Amino acid sequence: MSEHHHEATSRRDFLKLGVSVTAGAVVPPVLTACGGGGDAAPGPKETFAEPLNIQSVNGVLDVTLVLSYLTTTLPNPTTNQNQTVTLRNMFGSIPAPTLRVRVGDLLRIKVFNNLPPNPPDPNPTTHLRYHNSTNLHTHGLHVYPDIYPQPFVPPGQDPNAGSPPLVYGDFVVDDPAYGIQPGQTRQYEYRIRDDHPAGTYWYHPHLHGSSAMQVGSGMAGALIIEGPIDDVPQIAAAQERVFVFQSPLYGSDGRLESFAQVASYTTNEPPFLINGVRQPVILMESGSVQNWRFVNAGTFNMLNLSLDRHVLYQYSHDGNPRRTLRPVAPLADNAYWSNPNNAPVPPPSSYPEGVVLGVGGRTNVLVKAGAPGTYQLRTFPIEMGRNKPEAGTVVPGDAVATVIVVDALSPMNLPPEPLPVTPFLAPITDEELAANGGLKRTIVMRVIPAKQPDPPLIDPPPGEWPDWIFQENYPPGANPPKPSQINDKVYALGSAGNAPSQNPGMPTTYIPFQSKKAITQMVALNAVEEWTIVNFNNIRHPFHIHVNPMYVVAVNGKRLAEPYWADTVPLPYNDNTPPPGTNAPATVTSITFRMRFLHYTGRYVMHCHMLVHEDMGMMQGVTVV
Amino acid sequence: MTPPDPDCFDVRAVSCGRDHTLALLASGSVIGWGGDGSGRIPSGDPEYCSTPAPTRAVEVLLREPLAAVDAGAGLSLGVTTRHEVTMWGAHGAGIDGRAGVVAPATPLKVRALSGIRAVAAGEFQCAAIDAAGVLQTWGLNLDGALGRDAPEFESPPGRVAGVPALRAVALGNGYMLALTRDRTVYVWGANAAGQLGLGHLQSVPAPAQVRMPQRVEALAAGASHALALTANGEVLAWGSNNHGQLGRPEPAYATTPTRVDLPERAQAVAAGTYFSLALGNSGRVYAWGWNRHGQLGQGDRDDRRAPVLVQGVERARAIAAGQSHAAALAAEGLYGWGSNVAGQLGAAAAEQARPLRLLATRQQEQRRDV
Ligand SMILES: [Cu+2]
Repeated sequence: MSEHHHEATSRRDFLKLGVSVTAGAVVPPVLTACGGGGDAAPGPKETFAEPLNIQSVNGVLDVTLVLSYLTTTLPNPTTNQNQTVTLRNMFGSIPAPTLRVRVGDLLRIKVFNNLPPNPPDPNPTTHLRYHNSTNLHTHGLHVYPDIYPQPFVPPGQDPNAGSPPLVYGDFVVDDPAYGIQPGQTRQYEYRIRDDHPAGTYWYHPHLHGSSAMQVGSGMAGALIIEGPIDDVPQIAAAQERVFVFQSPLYGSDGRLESFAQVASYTTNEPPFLINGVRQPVILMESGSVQNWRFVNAGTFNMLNLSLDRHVLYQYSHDGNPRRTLRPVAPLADNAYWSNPNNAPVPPPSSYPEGVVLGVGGRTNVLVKAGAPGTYQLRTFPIEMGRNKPEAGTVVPGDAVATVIVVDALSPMNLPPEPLPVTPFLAPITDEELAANGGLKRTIVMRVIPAKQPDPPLIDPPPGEWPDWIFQENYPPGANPPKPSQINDKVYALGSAGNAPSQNPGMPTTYIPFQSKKAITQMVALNAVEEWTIVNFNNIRHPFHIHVNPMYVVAVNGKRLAEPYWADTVPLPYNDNTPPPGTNAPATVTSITFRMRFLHYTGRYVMHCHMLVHEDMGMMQGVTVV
Repeated sequence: MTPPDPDCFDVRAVSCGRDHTLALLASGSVIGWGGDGSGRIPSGDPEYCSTPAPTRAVEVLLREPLAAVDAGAGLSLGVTTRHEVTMWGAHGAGIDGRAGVVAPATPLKVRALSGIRAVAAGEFQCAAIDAAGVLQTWGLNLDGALGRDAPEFESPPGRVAGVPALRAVALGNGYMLALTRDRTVYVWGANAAGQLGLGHLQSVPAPAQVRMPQRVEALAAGASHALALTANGEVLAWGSNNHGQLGRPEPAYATTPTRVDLPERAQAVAAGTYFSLALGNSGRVYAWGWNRHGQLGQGDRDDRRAPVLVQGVERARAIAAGQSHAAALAAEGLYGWGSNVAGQLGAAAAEQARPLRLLATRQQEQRRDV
């Protein structure tokens, strides 16, 4: 295995960046013909910045990534100034580097947690005390989810030399008090199958109780799996850009040091940055086609993307390619949205729909540059719940990037349909479902108020109350005293736990709504099942399940004309008022998907990708046996 | 309620939930093992213990004695001797409707139900039959699982129309099987593996009668397959067959009842996730289907696509199947086997592939009092 350095990047720079490459190559993004002319060149300047790009060589990408505090500057969208921040950071940059492999490759990531020891934290909710412990999740990958039963010996190494440490698949079922603790190292390994969907994925920490703070600090990067779709000549010829949308959270001191801080945001999160840049400028040549990969790596807000006077041709849902291009047309008249920083919030019925991405979602789009001019890439306002002004359920509109189209030479073409799609994503028919068990499951996503109605809906055992909820008025003396929208509620996914309670006579605690004790769906390997995820709340909880993609067949019980494959789906919100004294609606909303449980046994999770909700218990286990 | 004998129990009935096990004692008290719904609730002082902590059973802190009990997924339903319904465990949709408690510390009375003779608990659906044979259902009405025209989230129990007077009801994953007093079978709900036995794969939102070759004496609903015991002791099976739970290698699923080949006539049937049990007239127990957790009691984890004898349980008089564990009530003991990941089999191994005696049981006079 050779070390490959781009000439501009020395090994010392890698270490400074918090990443070193054992196998693979750092490849700078392609410079645009018109934007790479250097500072002295006349005309508009491109300010769009690609993350560092590290790709596999000879089928292997083997990197060591370091977690530590990073002091850097970020554009503060609220003040429009650069601000010095000191945040927990993954791999030395916000966002983390783009990791790029090809179907069939071996991806190895060694995570070294160089954060300081967990400071004493009086948070009564014990699992929220481990801000500096971590782990890693490869979001959307169909890979082995558990700890490898035998230590894996890399090719070319003597299997009998020493006893290698455990090797982890996409394993996140850690106890919050453990994970990768400060000072520890964990070796992850992902063997990407030849039939793995080619597309855009991402990676981020996933330790229950610290995931919102860490992803909210910007600890996330794109993970790209290339495959047959990328060999389609028109796509191969298109310049590619990776857009990691993030909304780093920090106080006026530039730090994020408590769960209450991250829990204090909902749709009032700061506007998105793209690859750490606020409203970057993108240059395109008229008639050229570019290939854009969008990643919503935020913690709460959805995106609703549209490019002025340009069609966005969507060709994937999350990492899963589509057979056809889905054209998402711009508005005929953008005047209404022309004041991006003060976009008005009109009645919800008039919100236009662009390319919608829930938090955690990704998509690939092709865009063909039109006439020379200046255009905005916008996110239109989007309802994340029934639009009540006081509820803060609408994400305001925003201009997230500026696209400047300049005169050009050679027009390019969009690819012909159908696009190549792996047989792994073949539709799941009624017949296939019936022949493989035909099991149906129901999963309920529900926020349960802990004190209302009277009598309350939950009745925690004595002494366990603090571990069920994030409490009002924590931290003591906090200003404002109620630190967040999420306090005094239980975040539940599904029904009761399947772990026994403490009393009498059992050595474990009850806490049925926390992940370690939450119910675990036991699934037979090779089963094909149909699950309905039910939403009891007026918020679009984004449902995400690890390891196997979902074939979404119905929304609110209505079969879709065009089912699609995805791994993160924002549920519809409830649009009716709960009867007095209850917090549950008279009707519920839902999505229904089919799933093949193929190739891998082991333990993993499903959860709400509003990571504050996840940290508070909106998560359930899945064990494939 | 008198405390049971610490060494020997007069067990009247056994029920297995997703990951818990309940035994109804002659005194009307209930003891349980395993996850939520087992009665493992805080405080209280168990009156007995024949096996050491932490694997012993606990007594459910009931306010009054029960005449019948059914273990569901994380929750349990009981019928009191006064024919009311009580419920314990936890339930994400609300135990008693949308204002209902999701995780009570002590058993609750389900409002609006009286004169009840039989109950059945699923995960998000529940059912109760009263003295007149009227069925009431409540919970989430997905795939027509409540068998009546109700919103997806129906709060109070409501009557299922279009069925004759009922004797029994069984719940699978999102579907129900009902046995009428004149021994016919009605079905509704999810049907993705043909488990309604109607010859197709579509969900059915209201009761539909299944054509049966003979009168049916008992029904069992697995996760996605169904069993019927006929008047002459034959066992019929339909629905999913991905692990041989229909007792034959082919087809992969059956949308109409097929006969299971057993070495003797049966007196009871039970079904879990992809596996089946039958109790022979001799008191022997037979098992077939999925065996990943040893739930066929064969000492291994290999599936069986035809019935096999469960060794080590003699003179059984009742059987029960959970998600992937099983129990049999025999003359001298209550036995369990299969998955014990949630402690639902007490001191058994995590995957208990042979029957293990959970309790000694007392010889008892044959008496039916429900
Ligand atoms: Cu949520």
